[in-house]
Amino acid sequence: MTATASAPTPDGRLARVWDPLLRVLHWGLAGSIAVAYVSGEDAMTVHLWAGLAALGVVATRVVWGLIGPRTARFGAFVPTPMEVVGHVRDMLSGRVERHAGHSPVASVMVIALMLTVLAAIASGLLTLGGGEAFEELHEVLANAVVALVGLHVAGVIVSSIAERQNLARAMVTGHKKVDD
Amino acid sequence: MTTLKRVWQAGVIGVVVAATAGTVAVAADVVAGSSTGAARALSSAPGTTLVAESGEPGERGGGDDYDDDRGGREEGAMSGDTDRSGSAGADIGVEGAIAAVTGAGYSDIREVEREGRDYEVKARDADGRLWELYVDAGTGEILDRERD
Repeated sequence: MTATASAPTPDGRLARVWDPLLRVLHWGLAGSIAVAYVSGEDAMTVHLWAGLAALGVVATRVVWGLIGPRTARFGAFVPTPMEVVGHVRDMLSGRVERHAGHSPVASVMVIALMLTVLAAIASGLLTLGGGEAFEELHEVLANAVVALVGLHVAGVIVSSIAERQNLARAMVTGHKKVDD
Repeated sequence: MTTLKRVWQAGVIGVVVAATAGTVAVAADVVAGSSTGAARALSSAPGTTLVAESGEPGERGGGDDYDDDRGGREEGAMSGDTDRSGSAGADIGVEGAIAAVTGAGYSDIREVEREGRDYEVKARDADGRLWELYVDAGTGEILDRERD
């Protein structure tokens, strides 16, 4: 791995990485967050349902993370801080590895997004429930979600270039080139 | 090492699961829960927020206030000054809320908004400081205030 470091094999093994439910949930969450963000100040009913849809997606994903197939399971991808540091070091030194699943840094992204989305939903619900004080928190968290989504997309673009494959398409087809 | 990793993973997964469960519980409470929860959240969100602005020129030009925006866009919210939808029993109305606030020595009413069982009134005190006052929609009592 260290020796063949900087040159990723032009076409590694094509592996089925993301299962169908995981892909549906991924784009379902993207869609519901987009709807929720756009409808935020104008259409409260739409906004509420979009938020609940996002919650449904995350809740399903968490259950899937416990009982789903290997690449979907938390146990398979939640990294230790050491693994994250090691992966960042690898990336900085130009070493590219194509993971059959989430890379350690991608895993941090997933968990950060999940928790922030959950916090945003919770604060939104509490605002609706009458807690005016949560309104500002909700807006801050909503913007944090958008910032993380931006970071996520940037990470996908950078990794796609480094790995010479379209990782966004992998989230549609479920297939991805991986190094063995 | 692997045991350590297992423990760490269990911790992280526990946090995610707990956050999810907590949020689902809040959702159940707000949406499907008590009559004050769901009914109010769903009914008060789109329609019943009532805003009457003083329309005074000056200082607050940009309309940058979220509440202003929201109120302004709600259908007919500005016109009905005795809108009592979504509330039970007696209601002092927008005029009552303004009267309660001016009676307590505030002036320069900037905004009156219906929020659940309260009116939120933006007004200045005798020293010119801007406050958001929470007025009980039933009794006209000023329940609380905070600096705006």
